[in-house]
Amino acid sequence: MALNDEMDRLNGQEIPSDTAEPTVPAEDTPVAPVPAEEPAPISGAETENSSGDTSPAEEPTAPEAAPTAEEPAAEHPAPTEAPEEPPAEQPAPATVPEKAAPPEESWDGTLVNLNDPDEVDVDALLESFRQVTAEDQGLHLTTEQPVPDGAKPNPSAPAAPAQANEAAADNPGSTAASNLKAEEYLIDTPAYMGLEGSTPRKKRRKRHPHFFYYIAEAFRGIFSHGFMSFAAVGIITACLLIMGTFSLVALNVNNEINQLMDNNEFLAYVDEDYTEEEARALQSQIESIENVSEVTFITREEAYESYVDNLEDSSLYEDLDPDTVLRDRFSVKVDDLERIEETSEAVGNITGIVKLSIDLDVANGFVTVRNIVVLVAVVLVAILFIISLFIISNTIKLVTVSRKDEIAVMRMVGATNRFIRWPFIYQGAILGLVGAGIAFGLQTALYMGICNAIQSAGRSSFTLALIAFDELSLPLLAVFLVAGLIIGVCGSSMAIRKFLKV
Amino acid sequence: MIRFIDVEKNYDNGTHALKGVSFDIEEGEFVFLVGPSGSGKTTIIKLITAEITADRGRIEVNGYHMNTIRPREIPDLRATIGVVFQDFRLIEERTVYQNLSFVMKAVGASRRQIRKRIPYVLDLVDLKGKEKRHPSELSGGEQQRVAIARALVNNPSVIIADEPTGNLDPAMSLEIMNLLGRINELGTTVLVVTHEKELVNRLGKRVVYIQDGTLRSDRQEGFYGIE
Repeated sequence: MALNDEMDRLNGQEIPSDTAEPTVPAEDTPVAPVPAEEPAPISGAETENSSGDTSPAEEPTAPEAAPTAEEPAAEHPAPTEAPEEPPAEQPAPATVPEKAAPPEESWDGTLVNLNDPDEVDVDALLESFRQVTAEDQGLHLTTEQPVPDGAKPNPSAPAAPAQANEAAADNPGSTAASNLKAEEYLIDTPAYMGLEGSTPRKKRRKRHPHFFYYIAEAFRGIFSHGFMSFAAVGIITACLLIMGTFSLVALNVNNEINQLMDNNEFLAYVDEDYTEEEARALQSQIESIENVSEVTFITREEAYESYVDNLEDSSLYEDLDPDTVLRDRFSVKVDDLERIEETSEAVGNITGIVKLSIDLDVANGFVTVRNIVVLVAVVLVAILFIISLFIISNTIKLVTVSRKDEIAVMRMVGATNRFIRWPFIYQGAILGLVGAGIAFGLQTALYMGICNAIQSAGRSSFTLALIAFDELSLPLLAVFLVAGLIIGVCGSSMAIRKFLKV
Repeated sequence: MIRFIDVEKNYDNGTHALKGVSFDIEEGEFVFLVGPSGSGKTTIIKLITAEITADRGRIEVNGYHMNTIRPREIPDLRATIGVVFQDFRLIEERTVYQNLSFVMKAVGASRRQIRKRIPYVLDLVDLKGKEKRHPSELSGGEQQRVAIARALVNNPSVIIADEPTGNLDPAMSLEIMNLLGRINELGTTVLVVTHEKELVNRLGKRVVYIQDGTLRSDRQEGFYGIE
């Protein structure tokens, strides 16, 4: 049996004279075959510390001792078994010069029944546990006494599971056991995440908060100041709605004018001496001019017909011969109304075209109106955008100010700027997006309403054709969302900036 | 480990807060920093936590050299220091548990670690079972203990207490001091700034006495005052 082998091995070692088993007073027979063993590696200097055997330092792997302690308990009366009192495999290393005693001994097979308070000097045991784990962590303990209020484990070697805490209150022995799991815990504590050490500069925290943490904190901020958030969303919605309305008006005006401009054409009269064939031949020349979209040839007779048709009383003109008093002509439409002047000049320069009939003022009028409308819309949109930016910034600033204490605590404790900043930015983004969504919904309703109103007004001459909403909806949604996002994020960035300076 | 070498600090409004202060605090020590109001104690604290920088002299904290520390390293430095204030500075809107988990999250702990750590630390300061309370539901002594727990929760190497007993009655003050003493026994360096004469005299620890921006006395087992 392994135990006996171990006993034999230990029996062969030098036994310091005064290492009586202090906690097994009644049974003196065990003394000889159950010697106060000291494993060979430990330096002989311990002999002077053997009085410190009252604080038997158990190996860090002693938790194995606890479950197996039943065995020695059963054999307890038998003197040759179970050295229940492990003499100091390592001495009380509390005195600093004794650091030479290596705690990293492997377990030599000695067993302790931690559940029997008579066997074990629990306080001393605890103390040695603390020292062992403290040494693992590289701390120097300056006292050998157990903690005055009893069974308070080393703060850096806490009990891992919650049950251990309760057990700690009831049973000091298990505190020891849970302490000994501390080694695995120590790796996880923030200290071992690289925040302290001899070369702190090289160590960086290894874990950053999850994305969801920021979102959760953002929602916390939104709901903790419910009214302000509501107001911010309302303002963004209103601003986006106004911006959107003006933009849509400008778009529609532009569209209308373009359509009107489609109808705008001028007439190019052909030299009356040209025959019809020669006149027609000019068509290709005209079509080849840039900005010309459509060319229609109108003969003198056709012109005469339409002219006469439009008159109430055509009797005056009935005996006119169109061949002599009218010219053939081309009706020329242009693409870009703004360049109608140069286009018409180009047409007029063609040999054979002798006269143009063009109403430049009307054309230019259209262009001017469109330009003005677009300009006004752009300016208004820009102003409203900036206004909403400031409003959202102000709202977030209010939230920030009210959480000033939290932010100060965060800084004091060592949170990075990123950790502090991101929840607020997400907050602004969420508010912006929500506002944009609502604005989009309202805008849709508004637009549809106006479309329907126009259609039901139904006057035939009032042919105001608004752009179909289907064409607009997706771009509009995208623009709103992006605008809302920018407003929210920029606004909150501006707000938080002040609080992040050192 | 904190080391001040010939540190000078003047504020913009002309006050000469520190005029050449030098001292060393080794790991595991318990030090009282005492002196009349306006003597520069708070300035020393702020220099340690990198809230301000010194005009002259060298400061070393936990291996970081404060003269050359980079701004992005400051959070890491502060995570190795636990600070306890006179006015507790807990977050009222959050529970005790959230106050502590908040701080752990700030340095990047996982939820599992937080769940393991907080009950342990609360037990250490004798506040088991009060996780769900809000600070306003606790007494002054309990709030200060929560603050100490918060300082401890990230396993700092040094705890700095700035007038921790200022808002407490004498019995609680003694309790808090004893708690800090126990924490020190378990290995954490503790620096207490205070002007409570009786407590300082009672505990018999090292006392560094500052007056008018200069270090007047630095004695082990000191008493409050120049000797």
